[in-house]
Amino acid sequence: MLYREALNRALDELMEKDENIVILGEDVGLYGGSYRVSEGLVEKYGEKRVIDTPIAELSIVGNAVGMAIGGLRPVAEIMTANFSLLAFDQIINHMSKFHYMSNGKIKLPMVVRFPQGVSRQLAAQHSESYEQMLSAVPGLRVISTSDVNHAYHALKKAILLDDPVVFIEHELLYNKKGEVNFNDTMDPFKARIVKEGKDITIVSYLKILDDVLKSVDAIEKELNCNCEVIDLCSLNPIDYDTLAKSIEKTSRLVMVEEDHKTGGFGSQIVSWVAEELFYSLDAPPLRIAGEDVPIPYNRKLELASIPTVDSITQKVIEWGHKNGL
Amino acid sequence: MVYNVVMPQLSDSMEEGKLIEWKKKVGESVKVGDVIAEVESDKAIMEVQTFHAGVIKELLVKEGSTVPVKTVIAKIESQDVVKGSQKSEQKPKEHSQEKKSVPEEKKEKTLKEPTKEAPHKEQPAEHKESAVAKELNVVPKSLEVPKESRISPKAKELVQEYKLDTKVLFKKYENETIHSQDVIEFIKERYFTPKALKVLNEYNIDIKEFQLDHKIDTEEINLFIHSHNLSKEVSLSSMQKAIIANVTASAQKPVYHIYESVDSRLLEKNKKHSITAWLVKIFAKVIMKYESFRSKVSDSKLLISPNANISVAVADEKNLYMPVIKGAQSLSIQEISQKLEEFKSKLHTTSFSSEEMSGGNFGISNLGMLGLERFDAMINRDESGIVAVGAITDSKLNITLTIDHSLINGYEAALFVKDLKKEMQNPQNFEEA
Repeated sequence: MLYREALNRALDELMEKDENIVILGEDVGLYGGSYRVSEGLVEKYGEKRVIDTPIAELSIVGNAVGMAIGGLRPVAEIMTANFSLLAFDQIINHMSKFHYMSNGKIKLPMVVRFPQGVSRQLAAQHSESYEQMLSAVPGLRVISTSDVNHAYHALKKAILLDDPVVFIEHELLYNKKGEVNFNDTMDPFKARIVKEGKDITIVSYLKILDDVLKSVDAIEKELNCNCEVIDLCSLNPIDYDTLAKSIEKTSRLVMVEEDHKTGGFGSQIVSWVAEELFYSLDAPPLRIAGEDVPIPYNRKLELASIPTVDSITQKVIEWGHKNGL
Repeated sequence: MVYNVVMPQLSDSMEEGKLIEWKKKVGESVKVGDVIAEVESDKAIMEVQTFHAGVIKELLVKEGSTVPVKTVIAKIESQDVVKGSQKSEQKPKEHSQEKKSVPEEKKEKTLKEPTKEAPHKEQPAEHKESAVAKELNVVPKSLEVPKESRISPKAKELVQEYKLDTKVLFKKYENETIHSQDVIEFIKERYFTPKALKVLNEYNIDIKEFQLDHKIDTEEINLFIHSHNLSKEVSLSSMQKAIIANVTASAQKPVYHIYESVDSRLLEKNKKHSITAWLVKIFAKVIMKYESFRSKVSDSKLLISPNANISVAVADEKNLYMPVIKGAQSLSIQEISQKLEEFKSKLHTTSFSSEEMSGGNFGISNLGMLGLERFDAMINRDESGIVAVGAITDSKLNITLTIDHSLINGYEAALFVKDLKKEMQNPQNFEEA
């Protein structure tokens, strides 16, 4: 099953069971969604439950907030993270805060989904990542999903949850293949140990996690070591327990993210390690992240602005040699 | 030797402590770990235990009075002259020891606090480190890292936890960064004999399990292994894995057994060749008469071999192979014997090729020479059956056939055995040619 098919299946299964679940967004209906996630759903559930909206992101999320207050379970799709900026007032001031401001009387069982990140030559205004901003908003849960099985279970959980969830996907993951274990009872907010190891903990999430996995073989060979790779899965809350267990075992941390380095999400993980696990460390943590530049259009420059399999391999090896591996 | 007991710092915020009650009097003798006083910190009342055995020489603070942390509150005179002199070669002079015991007690508390989540459950002298430190003849100073060395936070924690003499460590890793693994290696080298270290690594035992105050030998580790019933982990060799897979698959087969005894007089007469060799020859001959004994099922078809390919169990305590003698029906007894010798010599070099091990129709496993009267064997791979050969009793050789019922039915097997018995009595079969 493809990543986008897993998301589609999650939506379909739940919509069939609960008619309070509605989808809204640009081109989610007749067109089937820009990345085909809602393909076939308008035919099955009608235009009242799969709603094509005008190109007005603030109103998409605003409407979803209203629906959620009124008792529906809306799933709003924003075409990409870049356009979510237009909806930030609704997301940050309303979606995240009503539950709190109403002393818990109002619940917002809603999901805002969007893909983000560097795809292929979409240039600076269509290649951004905003998990660092959204994960910093109290009251929101932020899921990042890099795996087909996780995507299926996490979206279902996000829809069924009474809390507002920002559900982050990646443009290059929609055609990723994988198996869904329908009997899985996973907690999608728990970090996933993708590969076990004992010498280095490599933490990542979303698409760049796949690049990390591709670089692991060369790293292990060169450093004669064993890497543990962890997919964060949830950026708020963060599953610190799983991270701590791993880092106490390996005593070395590498944080890999696609986003710009300064203020990027990984800085939270690294600062937490410095605060809480300093005496468990055998090496300064290594952060591998994108350059602090607007993402270039030129393909070569575009690739130079973000971590790649080669650059991850090279940086981890260099760092390993410097730090006793 | 006189030791000072100081007002302990029981929490980060504690600056002074109130002496609630003395539990010992001047002149009373104390052991390590004895409670000598109760003090009140800003948070709770705690017991003060002594790190040294001896006799209370002086109690310097009155009950009810409050003194700053680290003030000497009592003095203990040690009687442990013997122990003291044993270590005196490495220990600083008595005089300086007396002074240094003050920072030692302070260190017990302050060093640990930054890392432990709940640092305030006080057991002042109960920690294993204190016992270690006492025996270690190293009175730790605050860790001074020489300019030419670096030490990772985790390694530093370990050095302090085990109160290691860092001079040696830093010397060893001059101009390098010391990592936790280096410290653990250092501790291991220092406190374990090389043999013991091997066992320690073999069983993957944490060094924390041991009191690191003396050289630990194999005997001590073995004692630990026995008392904790630790299993040794040995990874399976590829051969062991193959055997497991084979016998597990074999156990799924629908088999039955035939317990028989065949005339062994001719066997006993012709001892120039082994029983196994003769049996290969005779079985091959009989098998040629029975297609089903030479058949196997493959992709819902029956494959019938034109030859009698006999696999022979070749084993010692560790290894087990079933190499195949192909076309055994047309081999002379000499050729068969030669093959078997070849197999035996290959057993120890473990150089059987997969070619040599495949293609068998029927197996022979002989344990009679070890005195087993009778046993039964498991069918090898996709063969039709196997004969387990036991010992000879009263001119009879005990054999047990294990037969795959999906290929051979009982009636046919009975005919086979009848023929076999006849051939065992046929002197022509025992001619060398």
